[in-house]
Amino acid sequence: MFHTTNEPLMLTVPLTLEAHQIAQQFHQKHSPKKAKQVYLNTLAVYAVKTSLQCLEIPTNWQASDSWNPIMQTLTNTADLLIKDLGKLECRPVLPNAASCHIPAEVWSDRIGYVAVELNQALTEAKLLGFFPSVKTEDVSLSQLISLEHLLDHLNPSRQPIQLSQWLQNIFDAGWQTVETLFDSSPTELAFNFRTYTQIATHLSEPSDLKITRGKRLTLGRRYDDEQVILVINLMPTSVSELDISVEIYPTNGQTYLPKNLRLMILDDTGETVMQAEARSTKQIQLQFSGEPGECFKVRVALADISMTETFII
Amino acid sequence: MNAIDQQLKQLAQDAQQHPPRSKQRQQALAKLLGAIQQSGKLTRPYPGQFHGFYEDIYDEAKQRLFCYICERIDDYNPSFEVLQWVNFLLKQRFFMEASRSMMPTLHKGVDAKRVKRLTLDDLEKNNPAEVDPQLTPSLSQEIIHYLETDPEGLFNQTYTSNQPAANFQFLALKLLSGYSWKEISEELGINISTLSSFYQRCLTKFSPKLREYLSS
Repeated sequence: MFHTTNEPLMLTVPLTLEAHQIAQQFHQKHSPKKAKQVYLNTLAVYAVKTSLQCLEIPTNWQASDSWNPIMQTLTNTADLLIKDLGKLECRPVLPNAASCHIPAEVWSDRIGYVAVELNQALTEAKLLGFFPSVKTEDVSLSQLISLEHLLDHLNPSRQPIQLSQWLQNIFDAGWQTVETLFDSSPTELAFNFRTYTQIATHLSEPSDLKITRGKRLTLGRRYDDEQVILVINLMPTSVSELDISVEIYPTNGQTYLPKNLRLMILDDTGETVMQAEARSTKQIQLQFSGEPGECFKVRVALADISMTETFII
Repeated sequence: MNAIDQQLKQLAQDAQQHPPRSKQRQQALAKLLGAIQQSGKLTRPYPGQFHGFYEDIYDEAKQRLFCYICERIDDYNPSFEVLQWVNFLLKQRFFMEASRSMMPTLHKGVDAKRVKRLTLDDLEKNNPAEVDPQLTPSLSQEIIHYLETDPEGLFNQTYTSNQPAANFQFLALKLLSGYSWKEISEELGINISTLSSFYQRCLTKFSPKLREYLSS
């Protein structure tokens, strides 16, 4: 792709009267210290939202926490809901700062963090780049990734997941070890220790060949949405055959899966070939075998919401 | 045709090659906008006019222009330079549109109700008059009150890491009082990540209740 400069891509957004109007509307609801924070956060979100709007990436600011004065009071948030993807955090950066401040209360549940530099007059915002994830409150701007890759991030690949890569220890983003996935559970609400040990024992049956990876799924996009953990176990049984086990576990301190949750396996034509439904169940599991090159889909559904992952062996 | 013109033309044609709303088009458009902005060659039409309002109008015009470029990149005719196209639009169309959108205010002269853009310095010294607490409780006072009364016992009973002291009520009130995560983490002996992600999840879970209670 032709591009004369190797400079990272940055976008400048004018902070119009409209931007300030919105910021002032929120500013007057808060005490002075909080008010300044909210003003700058609002301008930063405005800048990102406007840029994404130009590029036709649908956002919903009004449904974001950063638009809600109650949330503004309870947390230093500058989130922007991106349709079908999740929340992008838009952090203001003061002129000539070397780092971006990202408060701990926004370290989770974000698809990324955009650093937005504001000028002294607050007439212009510059999108400097983004961080995919953070673990500290002050992140050096030298770690920023160029904006064009943010667009990769906001256009997630719809490619099937290559299980042959798993056999070589290569995993797509989002697929983690069960230790990581279930390790985050103990800190959750109303933690159930017994369930955790049962799960941990079952999944750690020793086998050199077995590969297990899981992913947290959120069913829906509302505040009270259900989350479950989807686990895929692979066990090569011969050169040309793989045993596959697909399992769903509850999370967030829940002992049981959401009632009527359905797990389905679909073949490459989209036909459902296996399914299971949760009643008062602690986990559901479906097992089958396949050969390299075969495709299948895993669908998890609850009421009218479903999520489908496509795999190729 | 100089290097900048060449670069801009290439970027515009790149964008045109990809289907609308595709990732590649988005990336090409983002690069095109970035390059136009970096070039410093956007025209500043009608110099000396619109005294006192020029910058507001100009910024509004730029914003409209950038969106238009993205939306209508397929209208760009490569027989012309990108800057010619863009500056023409800025001067002939968007600047005038922007000034007209602010016209009702301009005619009145200084409009007390017109929004003025605040600067960082303004925010530093801005101390809006505190609402008399006797008359109307502020939003944060209402929230604090709700958290403290905790009518359903929910905020106090929801805790993390098997430590009842590390409950949502405690965390929220501490944060509202101005304590840092570091201080709270040290006091409870639980790491910041654990506490903050617990807090985030609680906010998501309790948000409907908070909205309901505080809107009545």
